Amino acid sequence: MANLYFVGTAGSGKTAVILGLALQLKEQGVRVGYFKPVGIPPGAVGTEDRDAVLMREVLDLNIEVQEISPLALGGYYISVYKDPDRCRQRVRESYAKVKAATDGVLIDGAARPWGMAAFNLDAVSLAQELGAALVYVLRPVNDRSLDEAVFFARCAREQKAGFAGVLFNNVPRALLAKTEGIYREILAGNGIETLGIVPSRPELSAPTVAEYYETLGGEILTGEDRLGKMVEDVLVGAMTIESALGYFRRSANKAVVTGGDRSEIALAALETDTAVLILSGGLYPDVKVLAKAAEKGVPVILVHFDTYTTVEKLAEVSRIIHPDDKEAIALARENMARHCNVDKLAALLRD
Amino acid sequence: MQALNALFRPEGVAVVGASKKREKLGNVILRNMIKSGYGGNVYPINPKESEIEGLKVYPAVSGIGQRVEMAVVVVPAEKVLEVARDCGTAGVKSLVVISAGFKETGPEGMAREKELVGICHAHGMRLLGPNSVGLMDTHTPLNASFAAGFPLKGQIAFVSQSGAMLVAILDWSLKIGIGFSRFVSMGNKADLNEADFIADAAEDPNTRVILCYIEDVKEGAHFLEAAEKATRRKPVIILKSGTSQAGAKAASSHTGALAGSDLAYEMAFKQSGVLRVRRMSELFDLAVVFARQPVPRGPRVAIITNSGGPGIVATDRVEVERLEMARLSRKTVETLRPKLPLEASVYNPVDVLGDAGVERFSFALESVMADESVDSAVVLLCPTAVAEPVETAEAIVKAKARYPEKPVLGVYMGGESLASGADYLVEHGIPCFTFPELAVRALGGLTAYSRIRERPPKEELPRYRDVDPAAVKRVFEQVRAERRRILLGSESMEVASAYGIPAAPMLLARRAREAVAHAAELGYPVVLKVASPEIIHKTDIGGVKIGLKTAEEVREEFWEMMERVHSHFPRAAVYGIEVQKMYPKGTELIVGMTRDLQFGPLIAFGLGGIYVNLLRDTAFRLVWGMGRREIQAMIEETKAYTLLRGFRGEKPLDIPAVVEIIGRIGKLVSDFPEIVEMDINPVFAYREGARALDVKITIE
Repeated sequence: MANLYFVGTAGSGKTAVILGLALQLKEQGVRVGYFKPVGIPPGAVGTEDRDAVLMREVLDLNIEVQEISPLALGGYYISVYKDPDRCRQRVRESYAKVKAATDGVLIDGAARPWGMAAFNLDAVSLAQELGAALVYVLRPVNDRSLDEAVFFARCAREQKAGFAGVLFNNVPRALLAKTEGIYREILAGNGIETLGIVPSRPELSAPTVAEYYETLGGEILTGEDRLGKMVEDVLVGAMTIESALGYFRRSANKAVVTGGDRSEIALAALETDTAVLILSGGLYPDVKVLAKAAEKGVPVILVHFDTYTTVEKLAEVSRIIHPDDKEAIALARENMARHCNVDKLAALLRD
Repeated sequence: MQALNALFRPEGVAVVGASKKREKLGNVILRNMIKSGYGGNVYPINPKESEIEGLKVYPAVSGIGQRVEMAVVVVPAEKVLEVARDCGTAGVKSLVVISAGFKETGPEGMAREKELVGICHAHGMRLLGPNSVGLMDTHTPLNASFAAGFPLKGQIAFVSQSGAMLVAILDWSLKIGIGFSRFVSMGNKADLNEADFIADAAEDPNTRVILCYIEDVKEGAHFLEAAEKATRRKPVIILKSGTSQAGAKAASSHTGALAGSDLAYEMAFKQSGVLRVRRMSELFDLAVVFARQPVPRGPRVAIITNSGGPGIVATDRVEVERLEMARLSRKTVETLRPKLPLEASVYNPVDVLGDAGVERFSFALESVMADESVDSAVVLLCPTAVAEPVETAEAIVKAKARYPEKPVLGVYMGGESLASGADYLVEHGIPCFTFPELAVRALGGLTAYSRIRERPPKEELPRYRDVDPAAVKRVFEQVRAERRRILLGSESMEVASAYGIPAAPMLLARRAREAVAHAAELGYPVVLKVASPEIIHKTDIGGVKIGLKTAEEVREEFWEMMERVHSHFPRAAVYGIEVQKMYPKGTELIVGMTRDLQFGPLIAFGLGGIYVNLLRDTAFRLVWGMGRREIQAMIEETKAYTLLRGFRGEKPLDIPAVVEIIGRIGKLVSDFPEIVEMDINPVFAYREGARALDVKITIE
């Protein structure tokens, strides 16, 4: 019985892929395990790795979250863990517990494939150690995205790790045709198999207002009950009133970041399809703006950073699938079924 | 029967929240009602009192047992809803809510205001306010406000979004002696707004002029219809604040509504016949002139002066205000010449010289007024040693009486020595100004109204039967499915074609060989354009290449363009390259549309090409009431029209084809309210026909 090790950079949608595949396999009667050797360190709000929590619940795993995700890759992990050998030991022990009573384990990679390479705990080294075949999950942005996958595949092969192929995920509509026609061919020319091409589905990949709020903190001035709205775009409101409306109209489900004193910009945003209004600089808005936001059902978050810092922080936000988010879970499953070679992946797992 | 009779001429008025304490608004309003001389019954409502200001007090409106058409509500905000329900049950027809604590205070107040409106609708009551100073009618008479004082009886209706403005004007009017028919403080405009009050004042026999101060228009379409109808009967003069960037910001904070573009307001006023003023002083100068002087038959002004300088200053302003200096008839000139000194000017402006007394003024004015080629007159008087300001004033009043159809304005340039003469004029219905510009401005307003009143009937959009809305719907569905807001060029072209706009065919190619195939299908030469909704100014980044003649050129350009675009916008989603048939160059025009929040689609037309931002040669129209005549008028407002007509011996271009394109855009954006922006840049105008080369559409 082999395992599959999914790697890719942050935001490529590894978890959604694994989730979808795990559900498929489960339906086929395969007892699937989930393991994330190098997890995400606790953030401002949560204390456990969210993906581990999700998979534990979805797959009914009877193991502690700390065992599913034994290590966390913080910015100062070397100072925290100190001893590479002990780390590897912990991974081995946890993995043994996860693996018991399963037919195969889906292994989730760290935020970056090379994470913890200094401890020899990067994806390639671990794949070798755990006997897993690597699947590179790639979210194409432009031609350069392809380099990432090709380089990684080469790296894996040179180290004699198993490499199953590339899975394009979260593919923007504008790049679908190119991925199917050109990227797949180029990969094939490099001896790399394409395991699937999954189009971007904002319902699955777009973060919600709640996730923005978790990252930003601050104060919710209105719309506490609307934090589940998706955010597909971030716009900064710093223009004149005359241009604001035209600018905001071009974008849907957006977060608008503007100063609390810019009532007219806030009102323009509220006239268009806005998911959340983020007021920067700690300036309380006019009550009429809040009244309008309440009327339109748009949450307003007041933060104390300046606009630039706010936008920078927003760039880090990514979607987290919650165990009770039935729709997203169903969509993840459907996406894999429709756009990926599930049989091939299942076969790899059974080998 | 006027719609708002239950507000301005109610049968029975209850004051809910009436108070014994003289400093309370509930007492002030009650006393105002009593003092106004209102002929109906007034019922104070207060569950804790039995008598206030000599009137019997009732615990609730429903307990009165008599007909009560109006209730003035001045209880704390949280009690207003309960009162409104009681009033509704008791059959009250109109509610004046003075109480504050609604939309202006935040989300909770907003919810309360909505509920209040709901209660009013459920009981068929109309609502003024909340957060209003109240209303007055000098003819009923009725004073349901907490303003200090009551206006003089007159024929001006004043409708104000600002209560403070209203009380200030009231106080000022009492000092200078201007009368009003009505005063209305609209407050939050939760139900009744400017459109309702304009419509009602238009029907009111006691109102000759309608004045409004507004910060925003609440219901654009309702306003346009009401103003269009009203302005055919009497002048509607509006001061709208918040026109500057900072002003609009202030207005947004004040009203809690996004200020629509000032351009849209400008067009709304223009197209519905509203006279727009920019200053408060102008608002009232015009009001006074309209209330006291007739609307002239035409624009020809005669000026009579005893000094050259001010006469010239006044003459300069005549043109600015779209007036004309009357050309006096030969008969008038010959009448004037023998009776005036040799050095006097007998042509317009008529200069009776500095040593003129009342005789020369009187004679000159009488002669000029008799002239058929004079529509209005301005008399300028400077305080020379021999001037006779009072006697001259009397002469002006006499001359005016003989020609009631021609307006006459006085300009008494001075202060102390002219005061009694100026007062005499004002007392006898001749508006008198200190400086000539203001007089000419006011006359300009009067004359503008003569044009407004006689304008042709409102137009409708041209009807087009050869349009295909289903095709447009299909494109929009596709765009929505891809979660886009901006259409690709090829999609926009399809939409335009479906509405009979002659668009240049365009096909999307995702690969070079597809582009070559498209080019062969369309026929060479072709144009390549990058297809990306994120890139607005394609030309600037090398995203447009014209005049490609062979398959080889198309193939090469495909990759080069991708490369150029990528280097400028590395993260833009590029859908491919659009291939378009190349058309011969015509005169470049632009037609654009933005959807205004209040007034709907606003069309822009002007000269196109790369100098568009430099020349700023653009005219605008709301699609509301935009028929072929209005489209033609819009085109004629631009410099582009000079080109279209044939500049310096060039052959004229096909203007009807351009009118057709604009009309069809109007139809398209009216049929599809989801189109929020549309731009055709350029439209090529030819000697025969016109063609849309690039269309951009944003949907909501």
